Amino acid sequence: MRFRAERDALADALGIATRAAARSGPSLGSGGVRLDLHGGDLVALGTDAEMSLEVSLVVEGARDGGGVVPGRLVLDLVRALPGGVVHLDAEGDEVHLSGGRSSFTVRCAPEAEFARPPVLSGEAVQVDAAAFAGALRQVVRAASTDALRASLTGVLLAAEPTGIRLVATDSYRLSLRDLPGATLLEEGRQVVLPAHALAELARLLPGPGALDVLVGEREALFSVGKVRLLSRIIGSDFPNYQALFPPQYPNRLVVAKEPFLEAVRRMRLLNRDQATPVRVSLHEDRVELAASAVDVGQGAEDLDARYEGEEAAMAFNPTFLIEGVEGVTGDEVLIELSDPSKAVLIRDVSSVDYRYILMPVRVP
Amino acid sequence: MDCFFASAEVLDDPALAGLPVLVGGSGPRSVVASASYEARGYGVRSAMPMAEALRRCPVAVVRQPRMVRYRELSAELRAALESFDGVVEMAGLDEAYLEVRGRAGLGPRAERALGVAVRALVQRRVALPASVGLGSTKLVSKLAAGAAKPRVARRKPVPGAGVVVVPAGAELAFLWRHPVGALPGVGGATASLLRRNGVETVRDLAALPASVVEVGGRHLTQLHEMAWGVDPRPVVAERVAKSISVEHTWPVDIVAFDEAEDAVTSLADGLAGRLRDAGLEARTVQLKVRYADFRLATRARTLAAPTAAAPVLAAAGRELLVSVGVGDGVRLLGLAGTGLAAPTARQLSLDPRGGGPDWRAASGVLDAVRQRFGPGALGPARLLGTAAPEGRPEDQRAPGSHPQEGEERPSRADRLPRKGDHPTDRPTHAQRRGALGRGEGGVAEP
Repeated sequence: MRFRAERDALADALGIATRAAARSGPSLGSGGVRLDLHGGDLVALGTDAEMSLEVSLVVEGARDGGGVVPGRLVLDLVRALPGGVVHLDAEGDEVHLSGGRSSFTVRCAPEAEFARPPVLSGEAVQVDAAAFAGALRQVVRAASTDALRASLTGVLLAAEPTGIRLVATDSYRLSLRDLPGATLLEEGRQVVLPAHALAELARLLPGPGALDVLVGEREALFSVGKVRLLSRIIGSDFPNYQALFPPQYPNRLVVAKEPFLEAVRRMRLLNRDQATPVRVSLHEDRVELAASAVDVGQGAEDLDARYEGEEAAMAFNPTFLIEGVEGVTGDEVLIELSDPSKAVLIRDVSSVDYRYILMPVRVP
Repeated sequence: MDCFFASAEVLDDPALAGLPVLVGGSGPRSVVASASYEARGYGVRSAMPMAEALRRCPVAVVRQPRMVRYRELSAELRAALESFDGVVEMAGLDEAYLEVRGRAGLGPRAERALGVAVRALVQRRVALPASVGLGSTKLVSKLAAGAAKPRVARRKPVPGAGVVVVPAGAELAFLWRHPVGALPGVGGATASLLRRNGVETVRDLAALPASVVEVGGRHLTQLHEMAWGVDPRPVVAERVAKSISVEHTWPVDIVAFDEAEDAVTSLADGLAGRLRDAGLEARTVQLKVRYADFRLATRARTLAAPTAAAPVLAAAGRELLVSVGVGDGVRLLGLAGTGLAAPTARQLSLDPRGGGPDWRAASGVLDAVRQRFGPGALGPARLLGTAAPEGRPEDQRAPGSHPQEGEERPSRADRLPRKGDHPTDRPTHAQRRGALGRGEGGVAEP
């Protein structure tokens, strides 16, 4: 395989493929990226246990072929070469890279160790890329990152009568987003995909455009532009979350989103040891925030707000609270609550498409 | 206190008075935790292997350590010292510093009278022999107390001065008489390194030129300062523990992985109890493994949330054990909790079952059951049925946590290793299992 490519374009393609390869274990080629050249089409493929990322790029090909290169190193080298044209020549177990007056020879991984992702066939469904990316950003970060709680590291995609629903929870909070009108699963079907793969997908999705989605039996394929992301399907089991939504809450707080976010972010500065909650006191016309960390210090702030209900005081993990409020798209946040020891619901004032349930912190 | 554990045994069994008494375990790897001065006359020393001690002194009376009793006596010591106007810092079960308020420039005679008064009160309240040293720093007063202790001459115990005062201005002369090994932080390795470089006494150490000290690094710089009487450590009433640890040396190396897992489970149970006793939770769990060939491995894991719950500590400990393995055999296992803090705000879970059990509540019940029905009443399930009960050790809550005399305190992570750091007099492997397993299941009858 031999070709010439523009440095930045090649670096971008390798950068995407490496994001899947970077996490791969030794059995998957140790961060290897597979390059395949056919005519003028170069395909870079990285794969790990949960997903694979494939990028195609038009280059000036000189000799067809393929090979597995150490993704991270080749990416770093390509980025560091002088701008302009880069030559890449892979032969046997070596790859030669040159640009300007510098050249490198890098050892390659044996091709046999590289696991090729399965090929998925079927009819893809189109969804609006920007809307889907927005939904992913609202939901994915509520998934657990604790490998010990593997069952919560996934994101639920469920077909609902009106569209598609995304749900993730780490058992402390739950984020739900309905995307009305989107139908990428057969009726009644639900799948759980790794949050890590969907977070990558959210990163890849650029502005407006279409995202092609094909959900198979064991994998789901997302294609946007020149990039294809194939994610493993973890399964279809997901905790029963419907019971977490009570029919109604007796208490409602409405507060301006940005000032509230900024205030909680200020309180979070005292959260040095991840053990300092932000205390929220609810009054008729205002909400008081306070944080107090032993041996560190304390802070307080109050904001104008509208509150209907019994005066109450609660405490939250500030990061969980911030992430929930950030998901709200409007200018005002509605926080509904019942008992101070029970979960609150954070959402838009006028819509229930996005719902974020957050459990409080019990202060000793 | 003079040979604290041994003296305590004599106190509770006056028939032992005047006899060589050893306190320690009886297993093949047990060491002497404490030896009476009569036993020291035979050449027995603290931290000596028990077998060696009995070879030197076959007539010695050996007693199993009774940590609960020693802690009681230690509390008496603290209470006695706290009746003086000053700050008391316990530096172990049997050692304490008392910083007396408003007595600066008292003059040697009044200082001596104060020392005599302290010693008399301690001996009256605790009913055990004690020695008192007075000095302007912790280092000097500790060495002075050492100089006041009884000693052995011609194989016979000789009473010590009881009280030694190092007057202001005489500190350096006093310090310089000591061998370097008397300084805290100078163990066997450091002492022999210094000796090879011609440094035998604290005076030699003080005489080292700055250029040499600089090359020796931070440790030597600190020792050099100490040799010049510099000891900025204040006397503080309650030291904040940096870590709490339990460890255990087995009489026979553990070679089976599942047996090592059981051992870690048992250590976790002890560690959890100690954490809860101290009202603390640990954020990080550290596993220490000493292999048959004395190679040491330590691994640490930070938990998702601070805990004082045995099952969580055990799971982390076993996970760490997987990462180091048992090699050709394990002689010592230790588990430490670091990143200690009082229980703080707890994130509640959406899952009504709490996303896992409510270990704080469960641990509270566990403690209550053990309080009422004894430490063996309830224990980790995986240790059930592995019992071979042959006499339960007294302190079953923390198997293997019996410290060397004078070592009962949270170990500081940055503490310099010392000779005698090996904990001793622990229950044997079978006893450990007996302690928690018992094979009888469930809660004992009241």
